[in-house]
Amino acid sequence: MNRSNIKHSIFHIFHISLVAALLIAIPLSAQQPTGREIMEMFKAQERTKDTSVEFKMTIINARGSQREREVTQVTKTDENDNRKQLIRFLSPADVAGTGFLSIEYSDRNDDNWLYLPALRKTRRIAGSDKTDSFIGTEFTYEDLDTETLDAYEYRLTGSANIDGIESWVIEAIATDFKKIKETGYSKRELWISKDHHLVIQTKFYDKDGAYVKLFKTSDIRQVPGTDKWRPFYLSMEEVRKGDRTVLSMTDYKINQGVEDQFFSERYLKRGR
Amino acid sequence: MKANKAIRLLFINILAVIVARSQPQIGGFVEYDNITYFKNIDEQKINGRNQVILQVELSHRINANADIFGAVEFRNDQDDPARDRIYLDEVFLNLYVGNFDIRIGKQIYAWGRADGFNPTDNLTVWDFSDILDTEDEKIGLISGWVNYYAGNWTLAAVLAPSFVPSVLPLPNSRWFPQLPESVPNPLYPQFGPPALKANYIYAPQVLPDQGFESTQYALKLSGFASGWDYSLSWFDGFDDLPAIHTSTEIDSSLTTAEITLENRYHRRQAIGVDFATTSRAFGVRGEAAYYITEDWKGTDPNIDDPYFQYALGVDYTFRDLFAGKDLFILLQWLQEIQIPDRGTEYRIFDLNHIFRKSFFGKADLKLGEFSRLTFEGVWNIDTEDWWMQPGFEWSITDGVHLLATVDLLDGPQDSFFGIFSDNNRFQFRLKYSF
Repeated sequence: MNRSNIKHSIFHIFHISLVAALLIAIPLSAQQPTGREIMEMFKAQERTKDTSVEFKMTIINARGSQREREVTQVTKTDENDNRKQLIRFLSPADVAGTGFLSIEYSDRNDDNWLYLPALRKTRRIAGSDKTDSFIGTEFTYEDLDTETLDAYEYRLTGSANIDGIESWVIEAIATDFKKIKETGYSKRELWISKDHHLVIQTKFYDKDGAYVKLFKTSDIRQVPGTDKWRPFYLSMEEVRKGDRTVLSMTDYKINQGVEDQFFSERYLKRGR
Repeated sequence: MKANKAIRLLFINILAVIVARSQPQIGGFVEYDNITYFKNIDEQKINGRNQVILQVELSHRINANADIFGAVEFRNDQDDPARDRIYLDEVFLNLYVGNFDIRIGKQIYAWGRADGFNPTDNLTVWDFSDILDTEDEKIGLISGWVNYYAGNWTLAAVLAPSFVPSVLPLPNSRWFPQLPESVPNPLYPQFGPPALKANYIYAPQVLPDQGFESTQYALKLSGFASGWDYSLSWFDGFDDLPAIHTSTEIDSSLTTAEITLENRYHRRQAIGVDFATTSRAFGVRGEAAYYITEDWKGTDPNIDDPYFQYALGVDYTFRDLFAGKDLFILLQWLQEIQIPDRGTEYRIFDLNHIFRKSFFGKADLKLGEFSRLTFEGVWNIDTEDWWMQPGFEWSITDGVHLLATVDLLDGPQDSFFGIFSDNNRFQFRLKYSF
């Protein structure tokens, strides 16, 4: 083969490769949704009128000692985007009956009440800092809040297979410093499943950019009577200390028509 | 007595119904409680506590609109057998009918939004046999309680057909006040000493007549709006603490005064308000009541004149104060004002009038999710006496709770905490809830 043929062959291979790359790349970019679009699909999966869930919460420290709590949580978002939530402890016996009621308003400060059965009193309490631990777990109040899409920039960084689930990998960065201060996170990496658009895994990075927490979900099931899918097993690990919280859902109910009056001092005290 | 017997029978009947109809939920706790005083003051006094409590609680949901609850306490005190008892704490039936919640039976009330001092909590009767240890020492009242809910408003009405007084320290208690051994000679007070030797006679207490006269009522309208909780309440019943009526007889040799002390319970009314709100990490609470007593005109020195009490407090949580630890601080001002002001002076040990110009403080330093250092204290600025209680709480494991506190109190000998300044002590409590 002379040099001209070689040159021609190389050009031909390059040409084919380029065409192939274009053939692959053009449809891919056309098919791939953007980070924001993926998060909108996640948000649509997440959105409900009301949700009632019962779960067992296991708090495991790095030495392996465990504490267990059984909790019910009922949430509802009304037409004004006010989010109401009632949480009640069912066990262990020394905290059973303790209840927490919060109403998060879209346009003013939240109302929060705590009911302590030993005191037989409901106490209005100041709102928690979003970076505070949620009832002694590795979750913060921010972790349990719904995703505010406009507060972040979402960038699709790739795809990955997590525990057999094909997922998009999204990088979420707050659009302003105030949000970073409020949440305690400078960045999150989210793995969103391609089938049901649920969070499969999240890595959290603190204000200094250090990787601090790992959130994982599994045992994804369709909630009976709905088109919604939910993970029935969730875990949050503080990666530096090794402390971990595991939530095992035992009962999920969605859009059952929970009435507004359920989110009141009456039901906070009454317990049912 | 008849009422107690009727309640016991009711409880036994309810137990029988629960067991017969279904499996009730059984809970409760076992508690070991030890109090050790720093010094023994008198062999006649009970100089400690070494007790075990077993409380059994039964609850049962009858249907969507009704449930029942009962709690019975078994108490054994090795240091003071007089405290041994089998006691029915509460037993009641709940009915949920539309916008009404109704509770009938022996039940404990907790009204008021202030901390530790609640002028509007007049239905509650206490066991003051140990004045510093009133946690879990509320006494149930046989009564009916109806709550009507309408939007953000609740109207509560209580009717109690009979009166039960608070329990006071017995003469062998370290919390029974030491009465003066001598009194001025009332016939010749201008000559001063030698005074008369005082010989005290404790007459049986005089309770209100059972029947319609002893009925107590209360109403409360409460609500919330724009970040505020508030209520307005009215109480018409009895002071749970007695007025001590005294009569004195002097013997013929003019050396001894026989002083008869008789506890009598008087009717009173109270109009009360309270509120709670929050702003950022601050909590603000207030509560006030004006007491209209039987001695409205101020003519009987044994009965309280009308007076006004209030509490105003603020709390704040310092987050991540150091090493990620949170510190909760509460500071509350308590005051009593006589309206109209007649310059009435109260007995030092009158439990209704301890806090006349006082600061109450509370702090919690969270050491971890399951342990904390605690502090509570009162400083009466007019009488310059004080009490403080540093402590440590630890949830050892799920359901097992340890509490260790030290009570320190002092003040001038003519002040409330001053007369009990020998009662500094250590308390240890281990509780298992099931």
